[in-house]
Amino acid sequence: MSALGERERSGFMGMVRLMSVPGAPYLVWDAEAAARGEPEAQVALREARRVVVEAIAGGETVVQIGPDQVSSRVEDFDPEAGLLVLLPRIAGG
Amino acid sequence: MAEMASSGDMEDDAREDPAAPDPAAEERRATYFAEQALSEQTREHLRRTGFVVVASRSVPERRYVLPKDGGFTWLYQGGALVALLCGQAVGDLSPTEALIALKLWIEADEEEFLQKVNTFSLDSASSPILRVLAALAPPPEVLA
Repeated sequence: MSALGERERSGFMGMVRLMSVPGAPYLVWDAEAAARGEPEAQVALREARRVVVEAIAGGETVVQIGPDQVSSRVEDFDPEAGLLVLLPRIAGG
Repeated sequence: MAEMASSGDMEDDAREDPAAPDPAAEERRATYFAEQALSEQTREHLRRTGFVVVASRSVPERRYVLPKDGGFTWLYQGGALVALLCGQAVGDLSPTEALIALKLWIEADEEEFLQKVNTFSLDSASSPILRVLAALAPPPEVLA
């Protein structure tokens, strides 16, 4: 398992899956480290916040996957949200 | 920069050409995402039947049945098939991830989802080809 997976399982990592971006990458951040003032974590958190806020402002749909694995739309960035997903566009067939 | 992890970054990069598609890594990525986005019960149902069933938040008794390999989304109301929906997630996604994307869309914004997909209602005026397609609907036990 990758380092990302190990850290995520520890339960303090925030993630946003950018499904609308080529390669559908993840952005990850350590909210606790950012809160402790660790510079690298703060930079990561700021970048994730920027991406999510700009996506929402641009009309894209961002959802949070709750502990019951049911998603709900979010209108702002919450670093403690856990897993966020920037949804891809849907094309009618 | 926030730490950005593509499928290649998340897994072992020891390949001859890191830019080349790595089906195994993509499959692991899809499995990882499914574990995050689908409950164990839903994943078991998907393994067993090949479908994910999503309950409507706005209309009681409405269910969306999503096939794992793409194709029509089947819309049921009160246990009866009422429409075929045609729409796909756009992007660099595996079939499983595309299915999950549709599930997330339905849960988060059902109204917008229905605006984006093409809906073919099944009624007495349905075309013969629609009635043929309806005959390919998932078996009733999928809804159970």
